[in-house]
Amino acid sequence: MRRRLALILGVALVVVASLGAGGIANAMWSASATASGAVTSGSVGVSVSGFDQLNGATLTSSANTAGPVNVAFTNTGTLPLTGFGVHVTSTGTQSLADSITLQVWDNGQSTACASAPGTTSSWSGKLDAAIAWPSPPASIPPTASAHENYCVKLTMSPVPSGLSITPSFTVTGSDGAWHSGTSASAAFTLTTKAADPREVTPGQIGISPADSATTIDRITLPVYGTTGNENENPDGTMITPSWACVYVAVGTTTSAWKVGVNMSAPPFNGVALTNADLNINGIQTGTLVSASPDANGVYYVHGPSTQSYFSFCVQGRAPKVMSPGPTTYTVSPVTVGSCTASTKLPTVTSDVCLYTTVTGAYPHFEIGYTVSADFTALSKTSGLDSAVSSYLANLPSTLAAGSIQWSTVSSSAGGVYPSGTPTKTKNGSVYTMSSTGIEATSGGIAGGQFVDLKWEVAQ
Amino acid sequence: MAPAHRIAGARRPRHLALTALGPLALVSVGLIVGFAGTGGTYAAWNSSAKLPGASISTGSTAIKVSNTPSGSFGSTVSLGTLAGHVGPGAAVVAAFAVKNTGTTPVALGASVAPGAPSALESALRVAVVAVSGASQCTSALSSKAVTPLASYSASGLPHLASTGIQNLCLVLTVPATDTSSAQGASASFTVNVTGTQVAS
Repeated sequence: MRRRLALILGVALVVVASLGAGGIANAMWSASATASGAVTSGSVGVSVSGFDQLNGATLTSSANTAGPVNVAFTNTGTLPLTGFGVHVTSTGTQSLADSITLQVWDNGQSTACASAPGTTSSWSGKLDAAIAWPSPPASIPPTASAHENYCVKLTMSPVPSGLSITPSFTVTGSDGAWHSGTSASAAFTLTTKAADPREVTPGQIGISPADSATTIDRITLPVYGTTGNENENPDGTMITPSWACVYVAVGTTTSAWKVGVNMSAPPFNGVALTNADLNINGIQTGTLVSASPDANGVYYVHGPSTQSYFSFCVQGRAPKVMSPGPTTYTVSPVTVGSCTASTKLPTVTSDVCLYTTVTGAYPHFEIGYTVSADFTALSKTSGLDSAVSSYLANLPSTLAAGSIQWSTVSSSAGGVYPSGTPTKTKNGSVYTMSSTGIEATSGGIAGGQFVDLKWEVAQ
Repeated sequence: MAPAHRIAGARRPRHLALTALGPLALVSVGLIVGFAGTGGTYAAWNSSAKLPGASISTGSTAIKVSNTPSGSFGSTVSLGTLAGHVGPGAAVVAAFAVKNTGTTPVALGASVAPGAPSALESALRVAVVAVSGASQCTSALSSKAVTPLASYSASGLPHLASTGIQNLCLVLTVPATDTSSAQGASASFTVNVTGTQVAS
């Protein structure tokens, strides 16, 4: 037994000794060498140019946009630029910032901005909002002159007059979560002014370019008419339909220009145009291509490239009657009242009176209007005296359209009831009056004008 | 006290240690002979042993480094300040070569000792990658650099035969999501390349 124990002990000692010796041998058989060095981190930097192109922009209701202009973000750091943070603060009339919409879109390496963003990444929002400036589609490398172009456009609506605002943009470039330590800023000033009230657009008057070489910069309705005093038309509305005067500034061209004038449309309403009309104060500013209009009533006026405008005055007709609507005029619901006090419902004696108000909305010049009343419907007006109700209900069977007496209770300047005899019609119980058919007398209404009408209805 | 008398016929008792000597010697000889046949791994056991009619000399394990495979190799090499800049997602690289100047093949390994602690040093991620040539050492390898300097230990580096040369690529970068903003800073480091003897 002791011999067996001794044998086991001996073997164990040898194994332990052997393993220990082996471990020491492994540690010794390795070698090493070192390579030392240093590394530097880059920096994020950006510069901005182009915002100043918006400086001095003047916005009006008819020209309420500024830009688009090209704004370039250039990498001035040693790391790629992967995005931008743009913050804007403004001085001046702060409330304008709420009225200005800022549009931004990526334009790659192109410096030519289209009028609106295409399919590229873009952002739109109020000028005082948090701006989510679009990131470049690929990082901008830290190489010389590497940049990304953006288009910036401002639109203001509505445009109050006589105010200004100076937005200041602060731009921070970023590479991941690393941001440029210094920010680039740019500021510009916008001012607003009221549009020339005499200025109209080709859509408001039948004057438009007649060939591809011609552009129209501006159309105004000055007055060279009855007095020749331009101040006669300070708000752009013709004083009377007797004269319609137009000034057309054609765009700078390198060739002759040609403009179509639709004389069948307001405010001319079918008056013929002659070369004599194109001669203002002895200056022939344009000539007719043909003495006759085309099938649509359009005359063509042309002139050389050296002539930058033409103007004409024609003695007009009564305003053309147009349908009511939000862009022409509105007619308030007809009410029934006493013929001496419109606010008091009559107890019928011999007559009753109807009242309505026409409010103009058509810009710059007068148009004719039409108003109607359905006597049967009016007779059912809630709260109406039973005698009055019966009176109105029975009128259509006996009252001719021409028997109604029309008059003006009140009006604003320019908006008047026709001084001549308006057209009166009767269709069942519906009576209609139109302010038309009166040469050289006013029967129209324009934007900002109103006329209160009184219809005296007596058998 | 009188000595005890031995009992007649009884075997003389031997000490336990002496009893073990026989088997110990036998097993020891067997192990020595056995290890001698296993080759270089236990060369240290052979270095002083002489067999009748033959002699065994010890091998050596040594590696050296150089900036280029054709350059002068030494125990240290300076990579200088690596060209370029690190930043979020931006990597810099440095190629260098290691040569087995010993007589035994080695398994290559690498670790990195960072210099002074700094925000950049903390943000850095490193890798040492075996490449076929210096031209293969580019920032395209940046995805392999995911481990902070202090805890880096290279894996997958090849074995290198005696006199063999291996091109290595040191890759340093900063994670794209890094928020340290350690801009415009510098950090030093030392790459410790090891060669551990392996069986040929």
